[in-house]
Amino acid sequence: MHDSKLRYIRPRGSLVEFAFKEIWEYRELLFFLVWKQIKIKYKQTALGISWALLQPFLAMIIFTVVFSTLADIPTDGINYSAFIFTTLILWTFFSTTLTSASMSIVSNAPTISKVFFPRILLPLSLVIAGLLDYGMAFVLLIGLMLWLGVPFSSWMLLIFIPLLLTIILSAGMSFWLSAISAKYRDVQYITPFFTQLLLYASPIVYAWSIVSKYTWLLEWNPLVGIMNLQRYLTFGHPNFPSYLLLNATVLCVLIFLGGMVYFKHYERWLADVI
Amino acid sequence: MEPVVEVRKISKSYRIGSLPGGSGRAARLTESLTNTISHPMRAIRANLTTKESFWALRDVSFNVQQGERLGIIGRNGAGKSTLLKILSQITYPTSGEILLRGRVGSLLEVGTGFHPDLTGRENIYLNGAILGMTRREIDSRFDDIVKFAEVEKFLDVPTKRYSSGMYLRLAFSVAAHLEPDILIADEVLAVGDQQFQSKCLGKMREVSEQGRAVIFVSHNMHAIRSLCESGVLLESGRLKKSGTVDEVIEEYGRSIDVQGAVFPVRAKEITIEGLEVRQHDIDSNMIDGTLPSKIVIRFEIPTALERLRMGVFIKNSLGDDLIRSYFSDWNPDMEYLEAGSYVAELSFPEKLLAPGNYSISVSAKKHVNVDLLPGERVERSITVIAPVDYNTSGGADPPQAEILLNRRWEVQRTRG
Repeated sequence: MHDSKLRYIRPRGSLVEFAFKEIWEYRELLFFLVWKQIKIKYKQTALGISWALLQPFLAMIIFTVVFSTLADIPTDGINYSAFIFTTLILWTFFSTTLTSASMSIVSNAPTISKVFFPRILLPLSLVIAGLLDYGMAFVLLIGLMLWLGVPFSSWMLLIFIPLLLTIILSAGMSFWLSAISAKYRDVQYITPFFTQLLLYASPIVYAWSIVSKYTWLLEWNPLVGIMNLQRYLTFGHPNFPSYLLLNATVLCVLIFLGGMVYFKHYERWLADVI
Repeated sequence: MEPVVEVRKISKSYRIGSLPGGSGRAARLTESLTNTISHPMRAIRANLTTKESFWALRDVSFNVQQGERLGIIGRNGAGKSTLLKILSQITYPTSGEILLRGRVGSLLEVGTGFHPDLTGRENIYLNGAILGMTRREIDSRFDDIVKFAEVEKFLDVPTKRYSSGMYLRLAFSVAAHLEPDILIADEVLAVGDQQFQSKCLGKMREVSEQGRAVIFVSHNMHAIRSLCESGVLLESGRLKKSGTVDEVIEEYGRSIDVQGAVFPVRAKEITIEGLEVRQHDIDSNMIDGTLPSKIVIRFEIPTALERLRMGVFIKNSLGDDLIRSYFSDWNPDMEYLEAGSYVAELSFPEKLLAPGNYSISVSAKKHVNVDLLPGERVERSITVIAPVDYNTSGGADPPQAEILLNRRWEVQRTRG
């Protein structure tokens, strides 16, 4: 795991550093951290595994009542509950991993000040641990669609692509937020508000086709492309603006790489500030 | 042979206000944004002008050979923890470099990364991985770890149900089986009972006999002396002395006598020739809290003194008097001394003062309140090292009280 030959400890590396090599070197520790997250989560919550399903499911029911029954929002002809559940499970994955991962540095402060390992594994492991919940919620989606009689699109085989983009986005944003929140403790209060805002700024509980104003601004939100793609792949959604996918991919990769560089840059001072 | 650790002119500065564990409250993003927006020039200027910094380490260099056991000693704030943190790559130096030949295992705290909800078995794997062991290494040493920790029966119980002794044993055991080429350990021995401590020391000695290097920091001079053969003394971030462990400990004892009086102290009616604090028959400023010590005053009086009030005061680091002890306490005969030279000895009990820095000063008055040493401060400082078995809540925290009670509680269970 460690290099058994020579190792130098020096003041500073280069300005731009990526963490891919150390993540690979410490892949076993990453695995253990993910495993620990999952273990603890299911040991601590009384509802255990069902909480992962209940969260998006209850949200789906509430949104169905409010937006479909009361407001009758158009859904391009697809059952509203199914229409939003596919995006809600992806959203739940994004928002829960972002919330926990952005706090990962602060909440692991004692460990960070006592033992060396690549700090980036902390936010990363929380994002990866969230995949189990997503997987179970996805099974629930299939059950829901079968029950409601919503036809499957053959594109569903590619459903891992929006998930992959969400992982990259969530990890990238956690790199930024976890490093910033180590220095500025109020970031932990800003993050939930910001995620709440993102929920409504993304086509999660509504269709992108109903947005007519400020589209130029909303298109900067990578979740727009991701959520549209998720729907398209689930239902064979009729009008998918493919440039949104390109937009989202570029933005996600930039946020991820930028976050990694920022995190690496900040990592060297972490133990001094927390 | 090449040294396994080469520390070359390491320095580390902290900006004042961002000291680890400092009192500065956590910064707020909203606040700093508001400041930048409302006073942009001031914010820029504040960023440009170099802030006041504090050098925790300054140009420290030394080498560690294969199989060597090196002790790092110094007062609180001398830079020991910073040096260990740099060696373990937790924080980085401001300048200088360190060359390490081999795998480093650092043990700055026992049980780092243990999770109370996980079982002993689960924590062995998690903690082992955090400390840098591969899965295969943990698998192959698993039985040894469990055996050393003596927790066989509790392997599948969450560690939150463990007694603190079991918890410590398990945590140390995982770390002790790391088998690094260079083991860095800090104060691990400040916790646990005496049997456990000697077990830890034994394990660390074993590690070095296998040809590995050990770098050990402790306030416990006995532990340092019994484990290490060489030492490094840090003072205010600088390397004061390096050499054999005895040389360095001796130098340390001398160096902490900061504002000590220069003897003899001569006054009109009394000459104080010396004030000693002895343990193991050596005059030292380091007092092992586990053992009794002796306070010795040598003085001479040219004329007889009546209604004498002479003895010592012991002050804490804030200057508050904690203890006053006169010759005449419990012994009224001592209120009168003939002219002559004297040696006064007080046997000072063990386990009375909490670990920390204190000063001992000589006071002498005749006719109850006529000061025989006007304007003189006949004092010296001492450092008391934590007694074995006294729970200093982890070792590094300052104790909340200064006087210890050398008594055990009788705790009996009255209902099942």
